[in-house]
Amino acid sequence: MQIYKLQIVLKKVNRSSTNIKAKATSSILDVANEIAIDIVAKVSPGPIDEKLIIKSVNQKVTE
Amino acid sequence: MRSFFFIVAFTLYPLSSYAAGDVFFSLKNTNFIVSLSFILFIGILLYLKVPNLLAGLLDKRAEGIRTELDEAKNLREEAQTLLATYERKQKEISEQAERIIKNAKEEAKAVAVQAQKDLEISIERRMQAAVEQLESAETAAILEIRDTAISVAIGVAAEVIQNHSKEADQETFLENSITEVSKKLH
Repeated sequence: MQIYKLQIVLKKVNRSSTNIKAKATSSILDVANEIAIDIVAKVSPGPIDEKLIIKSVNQKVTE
Repeated sequence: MRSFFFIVAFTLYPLSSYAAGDVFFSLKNTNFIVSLSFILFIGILLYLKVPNLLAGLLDKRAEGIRTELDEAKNLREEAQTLLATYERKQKEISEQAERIIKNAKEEAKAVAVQAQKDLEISIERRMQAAVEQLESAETAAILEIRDTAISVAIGVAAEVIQNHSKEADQETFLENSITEVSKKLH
């Protein structure tokens, strides 16, 4: 009975590992976007192009 | 002896039939000859002690039969004793076998219970190890995510600033960026 439960838990862990990877990538994107926009906004005197920053971040993360 | 008198009486019985005038004691009389021969035969038998011999043989035979009966009785008693012994032994062996089976069942039950406990303990340990491993992996993943996000953000920010600012201000911008990131991290 215990072994059966353990097998179910392991299956769930394996199944959720893919979701965790996707969530991690999404978190990296969110945080990196936020930080990059924040940095550029603070150090750059002119208006900032958020779309460009988000595109660059996406490009870097997917590399 | 009594039988001898009976024989003689029956032998002399025909005399009565000759009381009417016939001559019984004559060699021409067949009945007389037969009677005489019979008496002689009986006499010879008595002289040779044939009845005693027959009685001895019968006694001997009876003694033999009695001995055989006694032996058979003894054998029967021995057989009954052996049977009782074997029945007792069989009963003891049956009881012993039942005890052995009962002990084996109890031992098997105890072993099964112990194995179940050991298995539960082992699974519990593995679960604990897995939880600890997961916690460690979670911490490492969070750190890695943070580091990756920061490095990506710094890289992108640097590129963006580099592409959209004057060359003279680039170093200043980068220093400001690094300072800002350090502040965010702490």
